[in-house]
Amino acid sequence: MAAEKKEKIIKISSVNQDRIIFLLLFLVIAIPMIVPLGLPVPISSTTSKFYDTVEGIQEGATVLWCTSMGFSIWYNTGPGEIATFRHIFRLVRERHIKFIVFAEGAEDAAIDRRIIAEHCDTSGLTYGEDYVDLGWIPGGEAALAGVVTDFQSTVETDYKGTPISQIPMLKDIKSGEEIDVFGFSSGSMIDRFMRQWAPFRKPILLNMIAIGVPLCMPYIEKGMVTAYINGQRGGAEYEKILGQLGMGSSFIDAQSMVHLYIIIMIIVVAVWSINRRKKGI
Amino acid sequence: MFVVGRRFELIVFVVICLTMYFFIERAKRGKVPEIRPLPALQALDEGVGRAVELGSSVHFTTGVSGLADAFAPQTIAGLAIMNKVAKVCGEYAIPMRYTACRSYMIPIAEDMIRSGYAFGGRPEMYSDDMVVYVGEAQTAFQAAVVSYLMDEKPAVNFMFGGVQAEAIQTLGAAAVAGCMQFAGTARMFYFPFILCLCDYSLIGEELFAAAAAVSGENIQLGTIRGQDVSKFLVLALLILGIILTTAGTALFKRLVGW
Amino acid sequence: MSVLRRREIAILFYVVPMLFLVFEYFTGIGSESSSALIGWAIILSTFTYLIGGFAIFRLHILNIAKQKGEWPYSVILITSFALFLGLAYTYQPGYKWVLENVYTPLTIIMFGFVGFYAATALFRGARIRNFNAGLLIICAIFLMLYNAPIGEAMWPGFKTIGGWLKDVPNTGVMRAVTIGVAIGILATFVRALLGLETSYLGGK
Repeated sequence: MAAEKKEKIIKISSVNQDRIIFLLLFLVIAIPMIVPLGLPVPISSTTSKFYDTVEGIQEGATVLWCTSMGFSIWYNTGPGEIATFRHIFRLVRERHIKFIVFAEGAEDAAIDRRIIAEHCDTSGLTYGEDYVDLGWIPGGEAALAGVVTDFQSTVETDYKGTPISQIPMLKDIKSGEEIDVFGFSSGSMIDRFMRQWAPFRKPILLNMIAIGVPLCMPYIEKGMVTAYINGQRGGAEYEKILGQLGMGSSFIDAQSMVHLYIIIMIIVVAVWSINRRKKGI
Repeated sequence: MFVVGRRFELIVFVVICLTMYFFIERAKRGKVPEIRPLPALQALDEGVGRAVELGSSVHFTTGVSGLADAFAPQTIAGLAIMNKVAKVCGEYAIPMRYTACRSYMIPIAEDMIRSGYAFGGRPEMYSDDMVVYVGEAQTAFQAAVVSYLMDEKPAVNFMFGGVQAEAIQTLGAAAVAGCMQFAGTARMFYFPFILCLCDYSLIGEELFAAAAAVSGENIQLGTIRGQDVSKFLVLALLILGIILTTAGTALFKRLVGW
Repeated sequence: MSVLRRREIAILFYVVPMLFLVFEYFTGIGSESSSALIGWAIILSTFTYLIGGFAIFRLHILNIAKQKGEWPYSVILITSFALFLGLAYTYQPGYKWVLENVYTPLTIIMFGFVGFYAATALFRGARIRNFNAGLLIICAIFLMLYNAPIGEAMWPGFKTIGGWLKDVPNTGVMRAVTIGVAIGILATFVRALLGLETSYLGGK
């Protein structure tokens, strides 16, 4: 009877196995979000370096930022993007930095506008003189190349339709030589950014989805990417450094719990498979 | 005449191009390199045979990447394999469906599948409905493919090309739907999912080798050999650089920056 | 007209700009023309969105006309498209509301499924069949604990080992993959130059 019951428990259909996995995963994500666990978030050296690099931007420098993430990974790279924008806008006010933002995808244009409108303090700053949003520049890598080879021809208007000849801070931007710091966010391979922007040998900042960081290591290790934010965790750390907790900090507990859940599942499955092999099943 | 800092790059570029050209010409003249058997290709018949047993269909996709980005070579390889799959489907009289995420892929896919069925001996089986275009957005593609897999439960799911995040969803949904799975990509990002969820897989260079093998064209096979030899040349260069740099000379650095 | 439809013309259009851009990259001659070519590429890529839109409309209008398959969803699609486009040009607050409260959550949900399917994949695939599989799983565990703050809080060694795995073996492999991909692209370039790469022209 006990052996029969045990046999039955083991023979859960694969559909029900999936359901159990999904349900547990949902609970593991939902509970920490409703009841924050307050798990510690140590600041990693990579995020510290990113903060220091941004903080070290010189007075009057021009920063070019490209958002290329889409809404689908908003909760992964969004916290880092918001924190970066807040930090840079503070420097725009304090050190008269010029901040140029553009989007590689149509969704990213909406993301930029949303972040600037809802999360950044632009009071006392003049649009067109201190910062500008160029909106979506279509073309993928061709757009990235065009922006740094012939800015005036590639970018004809900002997102509002104002010709760039009427935007004071863009009059002198001809190519990547006039940009002092490049930055971008990405949810996929960053080769196209490196091909077009790395030859200028300027600092490059990267806000990368966590799963993509290992793929970018050749560029990071060589210093072609000066500093990077490691997905949601990096975003939460950056918020902590800035002292402005937000989305990243609220989700970091859930991220930790999910990682633990997956690891426990892997260990259980691995032990179970070794056991079955030993029994000759 | 040449830009400073790019002369060495030009030499490497020319040498690699000439290497490829040499092996392509060699293959054209009949000296065709051999490619080791790839289990995924050998099991194609088995896969389509499963569709015959179940009275079901076959689903194929090359993912979200198209022919206008850096993953174009992988998409091209995927299309070559699709042509072969269409041929096998024609032989076994099994319907197939291709889900496209780029509008310009529609006429190309239609041609590939039509010619595949024709070679398989069943040109009358082909219909334009076999190519379904679901829009340019990745999420729309994911939703459409997952919906199709869960509703129709095709016997086999093929996914070859420069796939992106939709690979996780597509392969996961197909696994839940009980499909036999074949997948291949050179995108390292997605190797773990392909290896975990697929019955047969092609990872990295195997995808290009498989495309060359199914096309049967000497040129493709010659290209594969050319690529392999080029990699050895790059490896030799790397070893030279390691030796020179470890020896303390700045010669390699000066050479690269010449 | 038949001359323009010859494959050789299409191949010329494909190969000549490619050669020119390579020439400009190595010699620096013709930078302005090269920039113009890049500008044309941007304009052409914008037109592909129009083609995509036209293809979608054609597909779904035909579905509705023939009442084929799930044609009610085609009605919903076209209505949603027209509504969203109309709002974008006539009523910005409405457009913003739809973007933030409909489009964004739907997009995030579709991507959220990835996590669930990834869990399924791990459940099905994380079996220690041999030494390599076991090593892979152990490395995966260390990397996951490197990325999650709780790992470092549990034991600092997770950060050290995970960081080493990311910085050393992973970087080496990624360099190799990058070189391999670059050589693959060069192979496509050589085949295109020789007129052997014709998949973009469709069929054999």
